[in-house]
Amino acid sequence: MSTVSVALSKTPWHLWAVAILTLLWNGSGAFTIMMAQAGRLPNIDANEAAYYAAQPPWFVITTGIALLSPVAAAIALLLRSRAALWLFAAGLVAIVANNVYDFAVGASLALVDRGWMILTAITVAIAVLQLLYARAMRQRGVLR
Amino acid sequence: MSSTFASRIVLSLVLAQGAFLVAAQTAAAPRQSHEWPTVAMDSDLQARRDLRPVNFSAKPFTAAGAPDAVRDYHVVRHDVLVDLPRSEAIFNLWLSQDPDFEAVDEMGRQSHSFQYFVDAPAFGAFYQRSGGGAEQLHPLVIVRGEEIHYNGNLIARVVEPFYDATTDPASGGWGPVVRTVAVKQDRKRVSFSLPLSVFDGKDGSAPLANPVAIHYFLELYRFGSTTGTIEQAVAQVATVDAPITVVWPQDIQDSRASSRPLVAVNILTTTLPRQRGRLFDAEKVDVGTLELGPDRGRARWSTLSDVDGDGDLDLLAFFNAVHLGLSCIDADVRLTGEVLEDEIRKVFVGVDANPLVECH
Repeated sequence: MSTVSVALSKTPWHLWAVAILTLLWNGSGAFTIMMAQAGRLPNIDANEAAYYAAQPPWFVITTGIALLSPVAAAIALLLRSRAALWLFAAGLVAIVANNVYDFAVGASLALVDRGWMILTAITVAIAVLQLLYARAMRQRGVLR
Repeated sequence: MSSTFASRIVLSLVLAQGAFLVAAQTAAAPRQSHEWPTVAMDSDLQARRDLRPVNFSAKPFTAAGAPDAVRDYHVVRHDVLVDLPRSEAIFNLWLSQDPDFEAVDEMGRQSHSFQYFVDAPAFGAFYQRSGGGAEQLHPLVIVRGEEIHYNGNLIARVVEPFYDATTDPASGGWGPVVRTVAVKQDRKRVSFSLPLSVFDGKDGSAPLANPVAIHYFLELYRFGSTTGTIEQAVAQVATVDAPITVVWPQDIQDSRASSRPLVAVNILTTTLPRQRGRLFDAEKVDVGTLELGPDRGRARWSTLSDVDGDGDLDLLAFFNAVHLGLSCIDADVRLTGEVLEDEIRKVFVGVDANPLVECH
């Protein structure tokens, strides 16, 4: 009988900080956008309302993936699970795909409002950073 | 064996009792004080050339092969909306063929026609009759598509027993004209509206001031012969006026919306002066009941938003434009739905103009 032991590095303090911040960022984003998609976010402007109203069903599904995968990834990060890497990756792919489609059909809110352009850029940048961080933690052996 | 015999005895007794009750009811029932016209269609009257006042040679038809044509001409869909705030009833009819209301055959019978028999039940008449009082008539209106070929208009008549048709040969014996309205046709669809005042009684009573319902029967005819089926339904009665504005696809900025056109409807919350309450509370609209246009398209997405910037929440609903069934014959577009008002669900109706160009 033999035993296999996996050496895990000591959990760095910043993992907890990053995990909690990503959970808050992605959780609040998921809540807001899914509420808006469901028509339960009051007082959105007419452009934004038209944007959500015109979304085809498949786009709503990919948006759900883009929103919920990072939330699950943040939880996985808290649990020090290597699944965080793949979940962040799935979220990033969905975010990029949705934005590419939105820009291609000229429906992106970023095209009509500078604030939305900045928010879109920040969202993509954070999604990339989350993925890079999870990959680094996995390479250091922090994630199981 | 004995149980079969017993069953037969019981069945016979039940049948005998039923027959006795029917006979007793028939004997007790008061005789009708009048008879309805026996001339169902003036097509029959028009068969007599001396009663036909119009030139019938414009586009002659023959009745040859009528059975097939009669079979093919049927109602696909129909509805009536009673818009109480605007005191009118809107009739929509979808047929299986493009009806030709102007062509007549060599006998003067109109190629295609229809008749609505519209009845507004009156509570007063019900209570009087159930209390043993005399039969009380309330207006039964007949809308005669059969008369369109005379001058292109639709004639509504109030049914009047013993109406003298000799002075009004087009009447078919039904009764005097209460309204002449324009009939609008877009291929297989026919639409018209009637003011609710056609139901007012001669004594000034207005049964639709507080309507319970409007019932109607609908029958189609070809060359004066019935197609053999009668549709019957109850009109939708909308009692609450909803302030709406419609934003058409060309005015919606989302380019994806223009590729799959969306129509946005703002349903506005309105308040009484000096904050004494709300005239219409869009927050209490049941979004699942919203229907827009003749085809009664359903809302695909909605949200609450202060559309008019007056500080209260309005309802912003989006509809797929291709599901509305709007055509050039629709001067207006109507939104209906249910709203909770004083804890009671009421049907509301809102109207805005249809920007579609006129029919050619």
